[in-house]
Amino acid sequence: MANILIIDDSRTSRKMLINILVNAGHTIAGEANDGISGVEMYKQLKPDIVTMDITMPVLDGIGALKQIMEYDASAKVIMVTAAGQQSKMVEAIKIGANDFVTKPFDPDIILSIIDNILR
Amino acid sequence: MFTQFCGHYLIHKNLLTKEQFDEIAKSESQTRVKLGLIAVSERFLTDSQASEINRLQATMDRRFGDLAIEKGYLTHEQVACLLDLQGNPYLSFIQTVIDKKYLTLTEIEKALTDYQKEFQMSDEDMTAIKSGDIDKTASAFIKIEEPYYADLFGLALRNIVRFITPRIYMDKVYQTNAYSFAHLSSQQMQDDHNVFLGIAGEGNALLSIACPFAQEEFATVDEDVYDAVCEFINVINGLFASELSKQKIEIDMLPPLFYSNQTMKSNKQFYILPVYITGVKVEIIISIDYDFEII
Repeated sequence: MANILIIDDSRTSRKMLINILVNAGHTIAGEANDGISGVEMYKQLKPDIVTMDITMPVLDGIGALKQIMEYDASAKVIMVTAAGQQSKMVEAIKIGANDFVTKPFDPDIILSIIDNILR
Repeated sequence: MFTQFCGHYLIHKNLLTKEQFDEIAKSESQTRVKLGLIAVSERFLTDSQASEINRLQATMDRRFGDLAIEKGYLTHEQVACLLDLQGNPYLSFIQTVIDKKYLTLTEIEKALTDYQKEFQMSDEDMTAIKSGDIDKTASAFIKIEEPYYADLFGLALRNIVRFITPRIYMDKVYQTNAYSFAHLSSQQMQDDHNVFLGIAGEGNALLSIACPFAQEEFATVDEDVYDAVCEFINVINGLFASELSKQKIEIDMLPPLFYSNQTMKSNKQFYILPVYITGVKVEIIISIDYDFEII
C-alpha cells in the first residue's frame, strides 16, 4: 500500500481520486490545489507516490514535476490529464514521470499503475 | 430521449400533467409496442384493419403479422419492417400514453404536427427526433455550417447522456453576441484554434450536472459546484482535443474558470444550445476563434 500526495486544482477531481485510492487501501499523505504548494508538500511529506494534474494555474503539472524531480530524482509521479494532451504526456515522461492516467478516472487503470510502481 | 421531447411539449400544452409524464417515463421501458399500433402509425394498415386482426388474434392464438399476411393486408417485407420498429422509442412512448389512457393516437399525432410547425422542423428533423438517437436528434437542433461547432455540441450532449442522465431534451441552437448569466463554468483551449466551452444556468440549474458528475449532493451553487461542472467540461474538451489531434490539429487546455452574474460579449456572434436535464434548463455556450470578454 502507498502513501499518496494528490496535486490537482479541482476539488472534484481530488475527491474522485481519493475515493478510489482509499477504497483500495492506500493512504492519502496530503492534497495540494496548485503546483507551488504541491512541490512544498512533497518536500515536507515525502509521499511514496504523487498524482499530478497537468492543467493548473500559476505552476502547471509539467512545471511542478520538473521541480519535484530536481529535488528528488527517485520521486514516483503519475500524471493526470484529460484526453488529448499526448504531447504533454510525452514531455512529462521525458522529465521523469512514471506513468499517466486520463480523466474520467478508471479505477482499475489507476490501481494497476500504482501496483506496478510499488513493485 | 423522444419521451423527454414529446413529454415536456405535451406538458407545456397542458395535454399531460407532470405526474402523468413521470408515470410514462417510469413505465415505458416495460411496454412492448403492439404490432397493430405500429402498422397503423406507419400507414400500413387502417384502424379498422388492425382492429379486425386484433379480434382474430383473440380467438385464434396466432401472431398478428401472420394473420395480416393471410388476410392480404401486409406483405412479409412489411411485417419484417414492423418488427424492426417495435423497439422504437417514439412508438414505445405512444404505446405507454395510450395504454394509460392519457391521450389517443390522434391527439398525440396532432400535438407532434403542432410541434413540427411551431418549431419549424422538417420531416427529416422529426424522423431524427423520433429515432431517439442522440446524434440524429442533435442534428435537428444544431444546424451550424461553421466547422467544429456541431462536433463539440454533439460531444457535449453525448457526455451529458453518458455521465449525467439520458433524460435530456433541447431547443434549437441560437446565436448572440451578448449573453448574461447567473452562473457559468467554462474552459478555454488555445493553439491552432481558440475554443471556448461553457455551461451556464440560472438559480441552482448547474446542480443538475454537478451532483451526478461529482456524485455529491450539493445544496446550492458554490465553488465546489462550479468546480464539478468545470471538471465535466474538462472531460468534454479533452475528448474534443483528442479528436482534433487525429487531424493533426493541436489545441491545449487552459485551467477552467467560473463566473457569476456577468455578461459574455463578443464582436462576433457565438452559439448557445439550451439543454434541459431532467427538466432543468442549462445552456451550452461555444465560441470558436472569435475574441470575447466576460464583464
